[in-house]
Amino acid sequence: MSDIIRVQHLSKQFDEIKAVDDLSFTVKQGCVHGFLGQNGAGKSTTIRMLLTLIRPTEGEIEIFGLPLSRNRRQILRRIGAVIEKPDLYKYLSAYDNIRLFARLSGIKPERSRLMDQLDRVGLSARAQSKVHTFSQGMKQRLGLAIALVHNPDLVILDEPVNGLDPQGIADIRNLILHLSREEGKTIFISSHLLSEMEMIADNMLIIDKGRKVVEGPVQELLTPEKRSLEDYFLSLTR
Amino acid sequence: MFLNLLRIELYKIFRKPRTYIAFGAIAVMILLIQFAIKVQGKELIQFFLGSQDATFEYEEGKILNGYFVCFFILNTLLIHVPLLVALIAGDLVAGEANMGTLRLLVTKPISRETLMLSKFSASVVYVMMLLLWMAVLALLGSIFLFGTNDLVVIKETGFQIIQSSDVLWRFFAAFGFATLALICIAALAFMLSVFAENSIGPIVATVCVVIVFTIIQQLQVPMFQEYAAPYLFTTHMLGWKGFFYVMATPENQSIPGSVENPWAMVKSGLVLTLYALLFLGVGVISFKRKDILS
Repeated sequence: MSDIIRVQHLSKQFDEIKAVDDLSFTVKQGCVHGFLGQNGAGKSTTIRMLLTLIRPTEGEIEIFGLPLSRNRRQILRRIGAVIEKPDLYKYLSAYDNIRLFARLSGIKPERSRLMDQLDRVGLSARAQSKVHTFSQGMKQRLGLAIALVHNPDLVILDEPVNGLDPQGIADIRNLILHLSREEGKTIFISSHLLSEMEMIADNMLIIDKGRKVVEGPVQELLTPEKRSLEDYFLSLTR
Repeated sequence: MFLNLLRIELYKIFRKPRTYIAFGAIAVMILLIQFAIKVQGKELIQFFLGSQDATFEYEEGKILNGYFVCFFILNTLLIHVPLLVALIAGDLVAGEANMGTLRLLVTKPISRETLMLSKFSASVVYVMMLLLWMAVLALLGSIFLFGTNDLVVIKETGFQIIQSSDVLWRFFAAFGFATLALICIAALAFMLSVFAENSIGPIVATVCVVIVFTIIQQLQVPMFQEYAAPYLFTTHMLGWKGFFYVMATPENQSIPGSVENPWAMVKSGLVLTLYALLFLGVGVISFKRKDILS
């Protein structure tokens, strides 16, 4: 399996604070790569650098084998993302939102395809409802539909199950597994729900205070005689 | 891609309820002025004629016509329209940051420059539509209600009469110039919007800049008049009035098609264009370098 994401010596300094410090990791094609860390560990900053929202202070990012700094548009065309809570255009309907973002992604899909995407996240019945009437969980699901509408090869998800009820979490878990196992998409996902990560991630990267603590296949990191992910995570980041 | 983005930006602007506040406000203000003039127009004319009433031989009924009413409306409203423009242009980037949609936009395969230029272009279209709306209500509405005749322009130094056949093009030119002036305001609000995370800040800041500059320009302090006023964009925003200042013959008859000081108007147009480009340039470059943390 080839590397889809390759990060080398990545750092980001905000005034006095070093949010990400000399971080290096790789993400393999077709796998679900969990990204863990305490609040303020640097997860969101790292994800924002992968999506060109934040400029790194130092380091290199390669995605799909291309340097991100010089191939931004070409790379972003193949990425779908949910960044923290996906606040959408509240005065537009779910359908108008997904259509608008599909066009921004450079595609002009037919209505049936957009409705399929909404159906995939359980929102087809509310397609014409304005987003300001949606709960946080519904916005989260709509955000996911928008991230997938242009059929990306790499899906980057920052806390995608925030605000979801247990059924919603299970639905998203199944969708992520389907995207990875059936459609061969690469998923890079950060979450606070360690039990969820344990169920879906093939590989794992744990960071603390902006630095890498551990990286590797979940099966190797969590042998049955060792411990649960929660115990392991806490032992590494305390 | 640019046209696609422009369409999307216009779609977003015109689906927002607040967009129609400006159109509604302009309609209400114009209709109120037209109603007031219809009811008490003679008193208004007497007020304007003031002390020169005795020396000015012209029928009041002829002064009070659609062109005069439109000229009066432009003088009254073009001071307030910048607020309505700031309402939309100040929201373009900051509003998206506040809503949380900016981060989603920037992760799309679009260059940041193209995104910014499409947003600004959408605000230019909005300004043009606002002025068109104003022109329809103020000019066509007033002509419909009051008819046409020669336009009497009341200046500090006296009166000028512009023949009715020579008036209409001046209004079109004035609306065109006003569009440029308001684009300059839109560029200022747009630039300030790049530095803010909610739209109230840039909207209020834009209005404050316009108010402060206008006060500096109107204060009869020699230092301000000599060193500040000529360089403030607010001074040049009033350039549209130049289209209604005509050259006159020695017998004090206005010369059709003439403009008293065309160079001053060209200069004002250039200053406004330069300011708009400066504000736009600073906005685009700053956004290109900006970390999106919202």
